[in-house]
Amino acid sequence: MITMIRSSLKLLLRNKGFWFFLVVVPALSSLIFLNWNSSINMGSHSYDLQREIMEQTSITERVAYYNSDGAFVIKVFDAAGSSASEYMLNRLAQSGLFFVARAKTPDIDRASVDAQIKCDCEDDRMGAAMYLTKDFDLLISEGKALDALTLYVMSEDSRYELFESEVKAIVKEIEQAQKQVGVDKVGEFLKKRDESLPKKEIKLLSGKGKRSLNFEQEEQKARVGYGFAIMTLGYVFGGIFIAHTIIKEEKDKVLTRIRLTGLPSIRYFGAKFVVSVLSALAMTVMLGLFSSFGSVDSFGMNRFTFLGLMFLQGVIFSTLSLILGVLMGNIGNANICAFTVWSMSSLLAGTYFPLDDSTKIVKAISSIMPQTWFLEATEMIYVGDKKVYLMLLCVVAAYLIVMLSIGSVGIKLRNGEE
Amino acid sequence: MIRYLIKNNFKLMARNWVNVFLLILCPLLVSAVLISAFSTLLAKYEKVDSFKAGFSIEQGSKWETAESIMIESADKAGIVLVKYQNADPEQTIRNEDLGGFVTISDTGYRIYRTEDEKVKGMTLEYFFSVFFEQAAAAPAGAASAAKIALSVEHPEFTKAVDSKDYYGIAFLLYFAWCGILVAWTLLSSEKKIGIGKRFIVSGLSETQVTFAKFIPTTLSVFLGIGIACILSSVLFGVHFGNALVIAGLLLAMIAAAIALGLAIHSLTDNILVTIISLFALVWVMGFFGGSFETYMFSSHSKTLKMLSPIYHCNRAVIEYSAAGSTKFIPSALLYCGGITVFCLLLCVGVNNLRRRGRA
Repeated sequence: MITMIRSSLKLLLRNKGFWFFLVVVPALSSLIFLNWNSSINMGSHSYDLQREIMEQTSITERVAYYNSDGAFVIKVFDAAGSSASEYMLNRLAQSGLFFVARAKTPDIDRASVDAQIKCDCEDDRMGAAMYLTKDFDLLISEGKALDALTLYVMSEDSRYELFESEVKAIVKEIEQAQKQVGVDKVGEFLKKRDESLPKKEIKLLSGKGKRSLNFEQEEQKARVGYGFAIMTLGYVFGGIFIAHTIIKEEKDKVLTRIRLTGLPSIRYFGAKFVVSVLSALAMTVMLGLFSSFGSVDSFGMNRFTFLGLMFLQGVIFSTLSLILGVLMGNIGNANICAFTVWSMSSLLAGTYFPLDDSTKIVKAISSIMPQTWFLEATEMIYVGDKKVYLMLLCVVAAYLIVMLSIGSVGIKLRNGEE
Repeated sequence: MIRYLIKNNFKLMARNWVNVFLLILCPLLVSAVLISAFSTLLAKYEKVDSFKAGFSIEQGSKWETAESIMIESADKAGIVLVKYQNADPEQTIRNEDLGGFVTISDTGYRIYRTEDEKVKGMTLEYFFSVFFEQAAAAPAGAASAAKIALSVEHPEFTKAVDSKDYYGIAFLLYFAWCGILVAWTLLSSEKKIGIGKRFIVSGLSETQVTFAKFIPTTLSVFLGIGIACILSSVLFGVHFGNALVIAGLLLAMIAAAIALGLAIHSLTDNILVTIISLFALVWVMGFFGGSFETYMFSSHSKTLKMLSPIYHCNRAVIEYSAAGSTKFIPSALLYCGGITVFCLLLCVGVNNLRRRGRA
């Protein structure tokens, strides 16, 4: 058997394709750990705790991105620019229900606002829009709120009602304050009054089913996920190259000759399995070498734990592709199959982006993918959960048992056919 | 007639497993992942009817006297406030399944919101903001404020589409545009075996030969995408509008896509080059047409968007399905019809020229 392992290893090391995957894939994977721009973001930045007015540079700038998590976005065309209008917008923004995006446009008139609103209706997304006229303060003091501002209903959102009544309440307060202190000082007066109100503080807690990772850990997890995805490619092809040797040996009748020596086929496949584990180990060692240039902070756990995770994953994937390759019995099909396994499993395991909000079916499919469990293990390691090692052992054992038993049955069936 | 050719070609393509993979599996998987990736960004607000939230008031605080009023007005706002004195807010939220928690002291209040219950947290925060404002400010009288008349406009807006409907549909359309791939084996073996030359002998005109490829390819792509539509509506709950209208739009679009593919093929006479250039073209059209970044959000210039046929198709199908109405159906049909007619004419013309050159 040792001779078998040795000769298979020789075959493998002579294969240029294997060397390519052995060197390039770990190098690519560790590039992620060396050079990672932390601002990479799917554009779904959460504005949960935004309580300030978001200033827009022009009236044509889009506000749709602020809608994340179903916030009620109000686009404001502010021609007034007075302390009273400032007060009004601030109070809306601080209530926590509305997101105020304001463009300061001192010279804009109603017609151009209407024209912009017409465009926004088709190409932007917001809860409501508001136009504050140039003479906002004066008109309110005269009791002409009807002319002072215009609201535009831009969605079917039920919070519009609250928005309108809130605006009415604030207009009323401004009007009353104007009577007390005069039109000019009303903003400061109201601001001072609000300072005597109880101070609000917000604490955002992480979701229930989730482990609470901090921002840095979330980023590290994303990075490790990308690492998993890239390394899977290498491991899968490592297994495929060994499958190639089996296919070739079968074709060239080498297998028959080996059988004639009295070697049972379990030992033959056992040797191939050992070689695939060794190839996974080699790739992991390469990854270890390359990633040693990066700092530990980039993956947020002990270097050896990280490499251990990778290696276990490598064992699963190279075995899987080894078995698939043997079952396919054809080098071309085996390659396509490996590529499919790689792209689909990484996508469905959520290594590229989290699948927390997906449907039950996608989640069920996702939990069949090995990487899902390794991402889970990564989280557990981050929060210091000791059960992680037992879990990993179970996961790896389960995958190997399932794959080896299905594989041996499949090979028997295929041999029976011939 | 060419009926037997159409039938034969259709059989050839419908039997091909690439069909199932490209037209059903790929769009479903890609859309499933993108739906979840963009779900928070495109989330729609859904009002919660009534929920439970916890609170505690610091002992000796002046707000203790306002407790009953607070509970009463919260009840009107759909929040059931339950008092948990001296409890740890984080633990209580998790153990008692609360929508949020508020701790009140003399100087201020602190609101605990969770990521799971965003709407409840929002509602809770808004309620307390208003409550403390009204408690502190002079009771101006909500009644007199409500009497203020404001000018309110109701422009005709495009209704919000969530990520499920958006990506669930956009990627079916995207893959439909790549549909020429199912004709790969057909076109490549025709060339390899030299069937084209035999058609010349058989006396079939180029128009007939072109239609014998165009019709079955369109039908088999339509079949595959149709199945994918049904599956995505069953599996993911993607909303489709009136089935007949959607089917009509899809058919027009797929016809345009296949005609475009055949035209490129007749120009290049090489299936690999055709597929690569068509995929590149579709990618560019999709990039500006909102296949990757939603068209509401992307900041590409409006002219570029309007040039992309995929933009019109996306808007027509997505808005018709998810929002119920759209202005883009005529322009989408016009675009697709134009592409189909032009490309088929081009295809027949080029093939005729080639035949004459050969003859």
